[in-house]
Amino acid sequence: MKNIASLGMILGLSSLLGACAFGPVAGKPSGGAVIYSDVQFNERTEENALGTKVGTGCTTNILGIIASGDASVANAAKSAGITKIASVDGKATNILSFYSTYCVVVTGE
Amino acid sequence: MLHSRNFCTFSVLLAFVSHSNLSGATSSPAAAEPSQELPPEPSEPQQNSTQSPPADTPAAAPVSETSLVDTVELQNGAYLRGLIVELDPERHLLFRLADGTVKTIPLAELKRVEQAGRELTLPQREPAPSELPPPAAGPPALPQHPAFHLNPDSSLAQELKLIPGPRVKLEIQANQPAQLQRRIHSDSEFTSYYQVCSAPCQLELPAQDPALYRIGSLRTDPTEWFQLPQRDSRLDAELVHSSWASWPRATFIGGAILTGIGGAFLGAYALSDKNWTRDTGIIVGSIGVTALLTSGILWLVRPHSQVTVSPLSF
Repeated sequence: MKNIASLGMILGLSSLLGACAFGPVAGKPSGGAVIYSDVQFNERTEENALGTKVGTGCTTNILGIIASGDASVANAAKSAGITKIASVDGKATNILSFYSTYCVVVTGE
Repeated sequence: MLHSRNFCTFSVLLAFVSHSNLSGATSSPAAAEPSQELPPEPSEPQQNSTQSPPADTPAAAPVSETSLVDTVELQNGAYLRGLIVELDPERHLLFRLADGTVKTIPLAELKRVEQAGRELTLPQREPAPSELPPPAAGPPALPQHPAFHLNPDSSLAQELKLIPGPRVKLEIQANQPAQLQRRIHSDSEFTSYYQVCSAPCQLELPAQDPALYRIGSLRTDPTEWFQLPQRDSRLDAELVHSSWASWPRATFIGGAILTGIGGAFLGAYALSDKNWTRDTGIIVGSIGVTALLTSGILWLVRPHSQVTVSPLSF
């Protein structure tokens, strides 16, 4: 009984730590699932025509302890040479609450 | 006596003059004017061009048959004799017929023109629709994805137009919704590209394009960047889900953490000699090791997105 309780406590603690890896997905619809999530969602749209250029930038998060990357809209747009932004979307993945990524996807011309 | 003689002479004279006047009034008029030449009948019946524009010049003075030295044969089999007035190498031929009418004949209707017995070389012209061979039966057209097509006004289309050299026909197929992407920039932090078309699609691209291409989407693991093939080709992409790249890392991290926690419990057992810490350490450590082994297996066996290039034959 004590062993089961201990095991449950450990797993819960791990999940809590892993939940820190949710990042900006937590507030999004169908985002932030504990075991596995792979979602794309819209952050913002502009009134420009949907262009052919796409720029992406990603960040990674491990257990909410180590995070790195660049998911800024400005830098993603600059890398693609986008001068007129049409839409900004997000793509987030989360696996077992231990490892998650968040990518910004900027489209325009 | 003299009086009766004079009267007789006067009467004779009067009668003569009266007769003369009466004869002049009743006689038929003589054909004093010179006879006019009737316009000769045209030697050939007039041919009306099926497409003769309404700008034909009205009839001028008729042309004598001896001066009808030029001939025109039309595509519809008609044959005209007359005089070439003007030949516009880009538009039409002005041809004067025997009745003086000047006909405007589009170049596309001309089959053969002779000027004073010498054939003229007609300028290059678009073949009439009846001359075009029937389109060769080829493979059925690939259904285009309705969601996206290359806009000819886009910056990508303008950039592709500037690349010289031949064009290659490409058919793009994928097992999942994906796009053909043309690289703009790619490093460890940012990746940017043009969306060229959504598979399945069929398009022509410059064979000498120095940029690299790949097939992929946000939900799939994209293929490696590749150079366009130098001949007409079909590109078949077998794409795998993007999570295949993340599962080995996640299980490795989770396995490492759980193994560490299990080891910590076993260390606590060594210090405290309590059975429950030993059991907990074994269970948690076992889960951790299993996760580590799983990550290794996933890393070895995980599939990668691939593209197969095969020649496109018509």
